[in-house]
Amino acid sequence: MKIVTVAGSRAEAEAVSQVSRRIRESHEEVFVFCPPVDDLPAEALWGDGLGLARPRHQWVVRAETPARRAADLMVRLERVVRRERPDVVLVQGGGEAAMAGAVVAAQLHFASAHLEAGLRAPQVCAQDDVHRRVADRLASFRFCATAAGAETLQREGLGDGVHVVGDAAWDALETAQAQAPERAATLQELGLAEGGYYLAVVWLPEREHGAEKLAAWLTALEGLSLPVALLLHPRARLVMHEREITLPTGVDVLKPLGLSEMLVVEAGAKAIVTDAPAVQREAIFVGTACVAVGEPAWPEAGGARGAAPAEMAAALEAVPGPEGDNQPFGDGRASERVVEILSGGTTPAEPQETQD
Amino acid sequence: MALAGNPQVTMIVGSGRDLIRATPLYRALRARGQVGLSLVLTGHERDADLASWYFRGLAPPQPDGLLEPGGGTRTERTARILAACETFLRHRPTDLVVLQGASDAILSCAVVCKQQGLAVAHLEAGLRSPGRATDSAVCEVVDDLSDCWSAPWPQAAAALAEEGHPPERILDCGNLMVDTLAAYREAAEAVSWEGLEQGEEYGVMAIGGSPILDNPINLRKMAQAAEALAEDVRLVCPLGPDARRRLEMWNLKEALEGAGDILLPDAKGFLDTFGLVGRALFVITDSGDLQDQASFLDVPCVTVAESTDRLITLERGTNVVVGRDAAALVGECEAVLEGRRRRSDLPAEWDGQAAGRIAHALEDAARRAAEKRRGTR
Repeated sequence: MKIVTVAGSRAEAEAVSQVSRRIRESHEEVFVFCPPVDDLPAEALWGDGLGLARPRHQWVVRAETPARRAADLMVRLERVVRRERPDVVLVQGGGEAAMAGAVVAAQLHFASAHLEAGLRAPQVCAQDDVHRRVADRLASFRFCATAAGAETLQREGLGDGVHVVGDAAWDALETAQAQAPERAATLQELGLAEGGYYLAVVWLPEREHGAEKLAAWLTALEGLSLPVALLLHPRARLVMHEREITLPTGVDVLKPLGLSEMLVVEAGAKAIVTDAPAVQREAIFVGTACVAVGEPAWPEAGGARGAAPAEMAAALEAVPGPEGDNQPFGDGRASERVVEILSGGTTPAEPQETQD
Repeated sequence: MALAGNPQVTMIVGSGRDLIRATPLYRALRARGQVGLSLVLTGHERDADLASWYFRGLAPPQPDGLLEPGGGTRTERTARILAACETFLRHRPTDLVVLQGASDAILSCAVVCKQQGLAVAHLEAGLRSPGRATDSAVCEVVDDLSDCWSAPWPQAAAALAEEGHPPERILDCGNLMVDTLAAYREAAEAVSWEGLEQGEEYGVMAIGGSPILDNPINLRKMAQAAEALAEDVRLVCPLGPDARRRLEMWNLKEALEGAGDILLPDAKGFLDTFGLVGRALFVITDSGDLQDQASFLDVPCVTVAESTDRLITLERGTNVVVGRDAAALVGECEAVLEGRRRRSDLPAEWDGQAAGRIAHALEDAARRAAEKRRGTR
């Protein structure tokens, strides 16, 4: 079996990492990595113990606008899929890459598989919701992290090809946890005290009005009772740089972190505030209280509390301990199931092909 | 002409045939004057040449904009429309986008509209082929991204409801295409084709889709069926440039020309073809347009495709689907010639007045969208 795996961002690469690793154990994989920015150090991703292969194709596909990025990705992915003739094109999440991969596969009459199918979160990011819907509709394999996802697909008339496998990204968190560096030393190195800081992770999913939104974040984070460690998505960092936005006192920017380091910093925080769904899932995983700016991405997991941007400071200071039920995310064996279903459900391109 | 304060509607149509389908609605919205209206066509400049052969005798409205897919692969064209549509919409304040068609270009436009948070209405929505053919998958995606749907027949409305779309926003106002057919019925009766006398009996075979033209096995089957039928009845096979080239390429043309009573004229535009279908004993086709026309005119239709998304034509009994089975195809046509065929009445909502009903509903949708946009600003 041959799979073309498409990851359109670092978060997507991490989320798909354990599926990718298992594919390579007994099948052929062509890994395509096409992030919108190129600022992350390679070792943070490929050397993080997640077992990701170095990508066969790596492109930085800028995102001046979502439509232009999607268009650019489609044209590039088409060439890969035509050349590789895979059994399945595997996409994850709700980025432009997931939609582009599914559209290309459908137009060339190849099967596609969508991880995180059935998730509907227009309130988290309306644009990603569009990409998710398209990928779900066109995919031959719809892998849901939760039973709620499968119910959503059923309601939309997409009952075929649905598999509730658990959350493959959760598998990646367990793997990263097992590799995590020693906590006290890591925190010390970053100048953080256990339980003595808030962690703010800013993603800014919608591209419009980035500067205003970032300014609102920083205003809200000023004058909290604890120092704030701030992690910025590259897009947010670019906005800060371009518009020369300065940091308020008590807020310091962290360098980009690999997933296992990230888990340590999340675990050591008093509480987390973020607009990024991946970070909300990590907060549930490490058991740290989390405020979701806007709406929680995983309401069924019960981890994050939503807060309007203006209320985030109050919500952060008031937030009690975590009270999550992480069962909806599965048992850490989602990746195994995905690969099992993919290899059982497809015919190899060449019948004489032997598994190595 | 955009009236100040009125909600703005942008209609995007996928192709020339989509333009013909959407024209009655465009005219109705314009005549009622409740919304500012602009019209965009996706396609090449030559497709937009509204004086060209395809539009002869129709005088469709002139588009305000053209989204050009350029050349290259299907995916490259889809990608180019994504970028072009985004640029177009960024410079045109719009409350509601009305999409006609289920082409790749329309899929791109639906994605861009939703990325920009615009309300979308899809005309000719809910078309589903049994077996989920690729084209019906495109229609499904566009429907999934839309906020309001005009279902041409009850089966389409039911399909949309089954996919969880809110019934109150599924418009069951009738088939827009019928408005065009009803308006041009008389004009079509006056068309003439070289070699055909008034009152002469004939069958029509009109094939233009790639599943047959691009596949020599399928094309040979169709040619052989045509030769067999031409033994019993005069058969008119309008050939587009592609069809003619393929027949030559695969050495099928000579045998066809030598067959019994057969005419192989150049394919003509919408109105001429409609006229040709109207007087035919039967129509063999892979085209959705001709299935609609035959059904409207109660001419028996044999569809040479794996399935059809025009379920109402099957239910009415005016259409049968035979795949690419040449024997079944000949059998169906022989049955017609022997007088064994069903006749049926037009559905009540095929009154040629769908455009007015749809326009009324879309004005409401545009007003709601405009209020919502103003509210969020």
